[in-house]
Formats: sequence, C-alpha cells, structure tokens
Amino acid sequence: MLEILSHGALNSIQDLGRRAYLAQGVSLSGAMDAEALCLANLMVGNAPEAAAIEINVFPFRVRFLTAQWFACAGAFGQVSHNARAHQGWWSAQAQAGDEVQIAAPEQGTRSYFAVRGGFAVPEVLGSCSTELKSGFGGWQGRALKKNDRLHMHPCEPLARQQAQFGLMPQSRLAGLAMNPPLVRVIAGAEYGCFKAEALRDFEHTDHQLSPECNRQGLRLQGPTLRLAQPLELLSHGIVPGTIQVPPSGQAIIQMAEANTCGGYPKIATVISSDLWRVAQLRPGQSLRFQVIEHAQAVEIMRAQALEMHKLSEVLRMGNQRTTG
Amino acid sequence: MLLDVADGAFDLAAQEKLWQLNTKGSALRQLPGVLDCILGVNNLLIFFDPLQVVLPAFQHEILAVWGSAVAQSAIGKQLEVPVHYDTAADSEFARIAEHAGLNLADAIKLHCGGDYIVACVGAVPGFPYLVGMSPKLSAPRRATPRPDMPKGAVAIGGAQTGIIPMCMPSGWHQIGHTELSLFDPSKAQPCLLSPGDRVRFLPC
Repeated sequence: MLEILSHGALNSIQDLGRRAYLAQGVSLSGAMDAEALCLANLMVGNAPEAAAIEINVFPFRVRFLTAQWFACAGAFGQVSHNARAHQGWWSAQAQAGDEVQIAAPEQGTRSYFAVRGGFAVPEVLGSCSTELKSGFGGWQGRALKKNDRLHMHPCEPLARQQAQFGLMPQSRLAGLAMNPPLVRVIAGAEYGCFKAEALRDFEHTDHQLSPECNRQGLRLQGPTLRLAQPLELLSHGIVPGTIQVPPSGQAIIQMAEANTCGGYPKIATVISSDLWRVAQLRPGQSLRFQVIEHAQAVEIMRAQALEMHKLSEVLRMGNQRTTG
Repeated sequence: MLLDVADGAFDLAAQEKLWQLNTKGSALRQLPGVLDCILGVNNLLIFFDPLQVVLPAFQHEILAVWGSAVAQSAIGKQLEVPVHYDTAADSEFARIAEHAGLNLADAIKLHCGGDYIVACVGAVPGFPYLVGMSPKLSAPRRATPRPDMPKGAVAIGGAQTGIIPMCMPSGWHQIGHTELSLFDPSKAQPCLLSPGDRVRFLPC
C-alpha cells in the first residue's frame, strides 16, 4: 500500500485504455504516452498494460506503507528516493516508510509511476483507466488527491541482481531533444480538400501548443489552414492522433480521452509511433509536421516494436536473475 | 481507415448496410487484421493492425465486403422517452419555434410526432445520433458552445435532435429534459440506446 502526499488535480490511474466500448461513445482513455507506461511496468516485472499512475502535475510525492518495487518513466527529470536523487527513468525497492518524489521534468511533460503488481483498482468496462471527462474508472472515477491510499495486486517478489537501476532510452532522449520535435503524420481523409498554401504551411511552418491542452486534445497555434471550399461532413469515428481543423483554421490533435466521433475535416493523423512525442510536449512548445506514406509509417512501427521487444527481454532477464 | 459511403444528405439504406457490417461476426469483422469498428453517420471507422495487412489489397477486400452487404432494417428496440419541454416564453425552444413560424404547442407536436432512428452512438458515452426530425425544427449550432449542457437535456443541433447523456459543453440548443439515464458505466451493457433503435418523445 502507498499514500499520495502531493496534490495534483490531473494525476490519475491509467492503463492502455478501454477499446471494447469505443463503438458506444466511450473514449479510449489510457496513458497519453503508452510506451512509457509499458516500460515503467516492465521495469518492475509487470505485464506492460498494468495500471500505473500518469503524472501531469509535479512535484509528485508518495510514501510507501509496505515495502514494494517501483519504477518511473516518461518525462526526464529528477527522482528522489528518500534523500537520494537520481536522474531519468529509475527503478528501486522502497521500504515501508520510504518517500519517493518526482520533480518537475527537464524534458517532457508526463511521467508514469508503476509499482510491482500494478495498482489494484476495479476494472470498469474492461479497463482500469480513469475517464476524467465522465468521472468513472481508475481510483473512484477521479484524479488522485493527497491522502489517497492505493493498494497493489499481490505478487511474487522480484529476484533482481541489481537492487536499483536507471534507464535512458537513447531514441527517446534524441526525440525529446529535437528542436522543434518532428511529428510524422499520414494524410487524412480531407487532406486534398485544403488549399495548396495550407498544405505547404502545415508541413513547413512550426505549430505551437496553446494553453488549451489536456488529455482530450491539444489545440495548436500556427498558420491558418484553410479549406479550398467549405465542407460539411457527417459525424464519423476519430482516434487519438487525428488532426482536425475546425473553421478557425487552427489544428487540434485528438488525444487519449478524445470524443469517439467528430465532424471537423481531418488534415492528417499522427502515426502511432510518434504519439508519445506529442504527448510529451508542453504548452508553448513548437512542433513540425512531416507527411509520410503509409508504408513508411508501417516500417517505423515495425522498428519500434522490435526495439520495444529487445528492451522488454533485457528487463525480463534482469528481473528474473537470482543472486550468486 | 474510414469506409465513407456518405453522399450528401443522410441515407438510411446505406446506414442499414453499415449496421450489418458492424454486427458481431460480420464478413467485415472476420477479415484478417480487423480489430474493431466505430459506426458513424453513413460511415464506418475500421481499426486494423498495420503489421498484419497489406495495402491496397486490404482496401479492396473492404470494398468487396461493402459491395455484398445486405441492409439490416428494423434491428432495434422501440423506446419512449418522456420529455419535459421548456415552455417559457424566453426559452431556446421558444426561439426555435418562432424561427419555424410555429407556436410552442405545435412545435412540441412536431418534435414528438417524429419517428426517430438511432443511426449510431458516439462522441460521448451513450449519445445517440437521431435521424428523422422535421427539417422545420432545424436550428444552426451556437457560434460558441455553452460549457454546461446538463445531463438529460433534449436538444436540437442543426438538423439533428438528441439526448445529452452527461453534463458537457455543447453547441446545441436545449428544448427540454428527460429523467431517462442514457449511460451507466456499472452495467455490462452501459448504453440505453443502440444503433437501429427507434425513439419516440412523449411530452409530460
């Protein structure tokens, strides 16, 4: 069991989301940076999709009431375990009474805090994710508050050789350091309906994240993207990564808790392999879009799946190795 | 991938074919690589595993399945929705009635005289896209959405009418409210309405 010590109106329990009810209007939800959630879980020997805490408000502080392994991943910053500070992604064993603090990140904007066994919250509609918009799932259907006490699923202790370790995935560090970060997209259904200059500006001008960014979507500020002619669309399904352009001409990237249907023209869709880059941007930061072909997106996805597989094997071996 | 069969105005026959494609175990859902579908208004969003399928062969398979889809009409249940219509002289409904050249009593009659069909459910949990409203009651959406459309509001947005399942921002106009609950996440079948259901509004 652990106790939350910090306030943070937007820190919530998330997993990989509730896919089974999309057709009934229930948002996918789940981690904004799904890859980081999976890696945090793998660092403590959990299934990649176990429920962990998504941290959007820092500093985040917890006190362990029972001994347990923990890991944090996602944004890069300082993680303190009792008095000792570490940089980057970190995993260690906490004893009862230990405090862990995750400071405001130096790069990125969201961190994931996983514990061995995963957080024990009831599944609602097939997922442990918190649906903040409608107020169900996760921990009591809401964000975590100071004094909340969370339980973990019981499970076997890890037989690690190294009591603690850090992880700095180079590809992610490089991705976060790009200025502006490059976000690869494939053309959306109405791509061809935009004016030629809009398509040029879409790729060759920076787009800045406005202050209106949350788990539902990221509103961008940049060149005004105009349609060649007004367009009235019937409502259709949309996904995290869909880039809509409302009449204002300023793009919106739909994210984890997006509505399941919408009606604005879609200029492009962020490839799933780059969703984490978008999820780790903060308001005020800029990004640059690059339109790629479907086949390229599949190649990137394949390479990413391979990298993830290698990393998960290394972590699995490390967590199983017995001493001596 | 979006299977978009819309051609201007809403086409019920096309929607009935999409209902069939969307059912469990349909030829579409059995195509290798298909993960899930979201039904829209005259369209169907298909989730697929990009590492499992090859384009454009996959698109051809989907079009072939669409070509042989059979309309599935009257698949749903009939539901009566009791509505307390807003009858105050300064209500949004009064403005819509005035715009239509009707008095409020006739506007209520027109709204509850319609046979509505749930084309699809979505946007927010349990929200039914209802078709079948008299075009006379159409009202353009607000330029700026109101932040707090209440749960249970019966509303008009453009040529559509609907029931709001939870407090949310909306550009629609409220014309009344119902006590009926459209969404309950604690139930295995959380949504009251499903595509193909028929709805009638009853004034109370």
